[in-house]
Amino acid sequence: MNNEVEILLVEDNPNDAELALRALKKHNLANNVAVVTDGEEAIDFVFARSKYEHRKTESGPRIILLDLKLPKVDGLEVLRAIKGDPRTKIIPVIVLTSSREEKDIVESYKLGVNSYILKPVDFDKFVDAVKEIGYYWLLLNQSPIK
Amino acid sequence: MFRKRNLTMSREYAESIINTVREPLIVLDQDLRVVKAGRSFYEFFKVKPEETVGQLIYDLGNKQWNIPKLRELLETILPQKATFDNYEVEHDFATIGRRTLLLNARQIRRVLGMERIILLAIEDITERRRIEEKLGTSEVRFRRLFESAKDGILILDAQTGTIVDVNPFLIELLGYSHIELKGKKVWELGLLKDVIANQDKFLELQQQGYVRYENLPLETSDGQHISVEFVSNVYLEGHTKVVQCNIRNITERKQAEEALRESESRFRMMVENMTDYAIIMLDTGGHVVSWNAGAERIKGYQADEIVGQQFSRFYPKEDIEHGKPEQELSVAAAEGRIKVEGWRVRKDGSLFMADIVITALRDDEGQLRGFVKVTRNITERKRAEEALQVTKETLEEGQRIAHLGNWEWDAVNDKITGSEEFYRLFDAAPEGIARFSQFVERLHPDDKQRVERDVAAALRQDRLYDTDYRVKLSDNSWRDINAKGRAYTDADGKPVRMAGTCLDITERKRAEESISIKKRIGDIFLVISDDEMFHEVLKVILETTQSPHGVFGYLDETGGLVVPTMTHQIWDKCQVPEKSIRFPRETWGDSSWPRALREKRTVHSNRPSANTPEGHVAIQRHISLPILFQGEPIGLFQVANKVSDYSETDIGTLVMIADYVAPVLSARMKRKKAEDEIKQLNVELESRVVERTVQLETTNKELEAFSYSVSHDLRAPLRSIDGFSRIIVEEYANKLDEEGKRLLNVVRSNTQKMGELITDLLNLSRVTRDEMKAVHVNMSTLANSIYHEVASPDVLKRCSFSIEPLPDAYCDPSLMRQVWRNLISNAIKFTSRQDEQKIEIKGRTEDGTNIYSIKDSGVGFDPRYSHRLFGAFQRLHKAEEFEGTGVGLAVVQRIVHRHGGRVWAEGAIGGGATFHFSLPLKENRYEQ
Repeated sequence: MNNEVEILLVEDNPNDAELALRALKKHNLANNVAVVTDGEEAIDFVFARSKYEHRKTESGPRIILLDLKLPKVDGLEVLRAIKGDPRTKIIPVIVLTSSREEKDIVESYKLGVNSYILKPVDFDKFVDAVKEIGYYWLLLNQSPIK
Repeated sequence: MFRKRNLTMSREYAESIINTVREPLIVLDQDLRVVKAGRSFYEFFKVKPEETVGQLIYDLGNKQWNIPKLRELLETILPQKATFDNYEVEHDFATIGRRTLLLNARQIRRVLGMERIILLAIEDITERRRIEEKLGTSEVRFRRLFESAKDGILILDAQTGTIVDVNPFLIELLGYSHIELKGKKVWELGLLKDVIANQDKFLELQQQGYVRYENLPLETSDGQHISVEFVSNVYLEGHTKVVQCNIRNITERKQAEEALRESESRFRMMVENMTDYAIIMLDTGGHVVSWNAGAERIKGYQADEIVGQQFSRFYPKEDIEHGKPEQELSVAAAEGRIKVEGWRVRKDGSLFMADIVITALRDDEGQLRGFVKVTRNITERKRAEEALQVTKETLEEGQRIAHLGNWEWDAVNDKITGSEEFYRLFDAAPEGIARFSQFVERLHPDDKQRVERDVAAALRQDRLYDTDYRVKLSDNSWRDINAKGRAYTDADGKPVRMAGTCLDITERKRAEESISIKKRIGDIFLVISDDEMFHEVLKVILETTQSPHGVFGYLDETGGLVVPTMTHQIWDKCQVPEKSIRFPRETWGDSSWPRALREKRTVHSNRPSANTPEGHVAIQRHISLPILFQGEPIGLFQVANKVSDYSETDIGTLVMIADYVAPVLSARMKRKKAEDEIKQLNVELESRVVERTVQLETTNKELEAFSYSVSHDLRAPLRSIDGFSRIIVEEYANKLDEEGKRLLNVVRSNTQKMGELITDLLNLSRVTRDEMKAVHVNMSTLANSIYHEVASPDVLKRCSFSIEPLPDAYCDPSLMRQVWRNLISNAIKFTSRQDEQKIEIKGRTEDGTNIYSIKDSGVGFDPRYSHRLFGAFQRLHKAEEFEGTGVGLAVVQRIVHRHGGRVWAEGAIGGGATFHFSLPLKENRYEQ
């Protein structure tokens, strides 16, 4: 359906968000991308709360691209929330962050992240990474969500 | 007239006669007055006519003539008799001395015109009387001698040979009576055997007046044979020639002489043959009279060369000069004999040591006849004696030095004897330890039974006797002795005596005791904790001084005495609440132990203590001894109430223990002090560490946060810069000229660089911060895999890469990974432009470290700047030449340093570079 959100992009940096969208668009993956700019909004979105209470949870998202360093609610908290809830834990979450911190990586995996990708500074590479992610998670990987 | 002339002529005649007569003559008138005196009278009586004539006779010579006997003659006898002859008068005259006079007196009537005259003729018979007296005395004497003589005297008529007189001795000797002998002819005596010879002899006698038989055999009346010495003299007896024969019975003498001759010859033979003794006879003057074989042998002279010589020639020259020979003779003469030892000289001049006895020979009358000198060569003996004496003295000295005495016990007679040192060891006189019981008496009561048993065992089983015991000395102290010995048996196997030695082992025992005490205390110090140490050491000193009460304390920093322990009785009695009590210096007072501590000397008393505080133990006797270390008191020993008095030995023992304990106590206390300080420091340190840790942790957290934010926040804008400039390039390419595109690309490339920088910086800080987890890492595998990771296919193709087996490292794998990555990347980078691209990796173990090296054939570097290689952001090459942030090597250094290793490099411009780093082996590893 056209309303279906395929990708939830959780990114507080508008530049990074823009670049990500451009990357997705370039590779025709940006059809249904929702962008939230902080952790609280992310949770609201995923759990159809407050602003997004009208949203139907059945309609995605199919993957969540999650930045870790987020205002209000930190990325790992969002991850925990998502992976902690049986209704949402099946949604593949791909952390896309500039943090190379091992503890972030480990914590994320502990929380059940599906993938942890570092944001390259190089735009090209960034675009490639996004493309890879998209291809993999949306096309190649069998999603549990229809 | 004629008558008168006749008278005168008569008178002159008479006067002439009177004066001529040789004997003194005096004429007296009827009144007894001197009418006339003859010249002889005046001469004899030494008087003058003037003083004589006319005097009364009795008045003559100052009444000298007043002699009662004269009066008697003149007035009594003469008137009656008219003549008297030979009237003897003796008188002591003043002028002429005592005289015996013989008087002839005549009274003549009517002559010379006088009525009566008296004529006195005087003869001086003084001499005659003297002679007669003498003769009479001699006669008496002779008679007496004759009668009592112990020789026989025979008086013979010289003409006829008839026996005139025989003295009683001869009578007895011959056995004939006086009558039988008297009147006989001398040769008629049956006793004279050879009559004829005797007659001849008698003739000889008559002719010569003297005859002598030395040895005349006679026979007595009862047939006994005797020998006599017969001497005869002829002399005149009045007008008769008489022969006096003196006959001496020499039978005994002869027998004695015979015996003497016999013994003499025996003696002579003995003397002659004796060769061990030089027996020589000397005359009174010291000349050699006889010489035996021994003398020949010992002194070297033949008899004929030496007889008659002075015996002094046997003496050494100095002795002769000092008159020794004569001295010795005179002592022998005075005391009968002299025994000396001295050097004597042989014929050949050699000296020998002689033992000499000189005996004086006297005859029956005690007259010195000569000397007998017996000499023995004792040179060898003397040497042996001297050696023995030296040995004896050496032995005694040795015994004295070694305090070793020897003893012998005659078990049969129960008599103990020993050497000087033996008695000294027992501090006894020989009488005081002469019997076995006396020996046992002297032993320590605890030792008596054992020693008696040991002695019995030695005697019974012929076992060696070896035992220790204590003996009581005269000052009531004890001496430790070790006795060794053995028993000796007689032929039947019965033990009869024991002999052995005694050794003073007091020192040894004391040393052993010291050692054992020291060991005990040493063990205490080693093993026991501080609290118990005081208690244990106190136990030791109480035991060794046999004291029931004692104190062992130490001085703390304030100078007060701390007593961690007291004997339990005192605890109870003194009602001390705490286990350890402290006496501050101000409270010390003046009793023994404060004095001992203050004055740094031992204070002891065997008398009861005067002031005992209430509730404290009464002190009968004590020793207070400060424990000094390097001259300063650090502690105190006190012992009290031993049953007997404290001796110097007790004090000595305590001093020894104190000296031993002092350094350890001092060290202990110092250590304790140091420990306390350390504890204090530790506490402080702990808190400081905690502080620092907190600080560090805070800092770390801050750093973490920082790097996190750096990594995140710094990158984001970079991404944006890059991304958007890319977009511009892509989407507004048609609006940009080449320059514009180029400019935008510069922007892009810089952002990328910045991203790398940030990454590297973050890396660097992480490398410093991150926890290192060390494990065994196979460096060969690691290096190899990194190379293949880093190298592009192109590099793999063109670069010659070799890796030798590398020693395993004990390190953090991820950090080491970075090291290899940086080094290998550098190697690849700097060889990329070279014609020859060669990378070699080597490794070795050396001196406890592993050294890894990577050598490349790249551009190398200027070795002058090698010190800058490993600084952060330091680059020795321009950015256009080789890209890089200059952090890589800094990271390598940081990591290697954290592992405790080193990095260094060699290189030459255009000549490649070799980078080394070392890692310590696991054992040596430490973390920075």
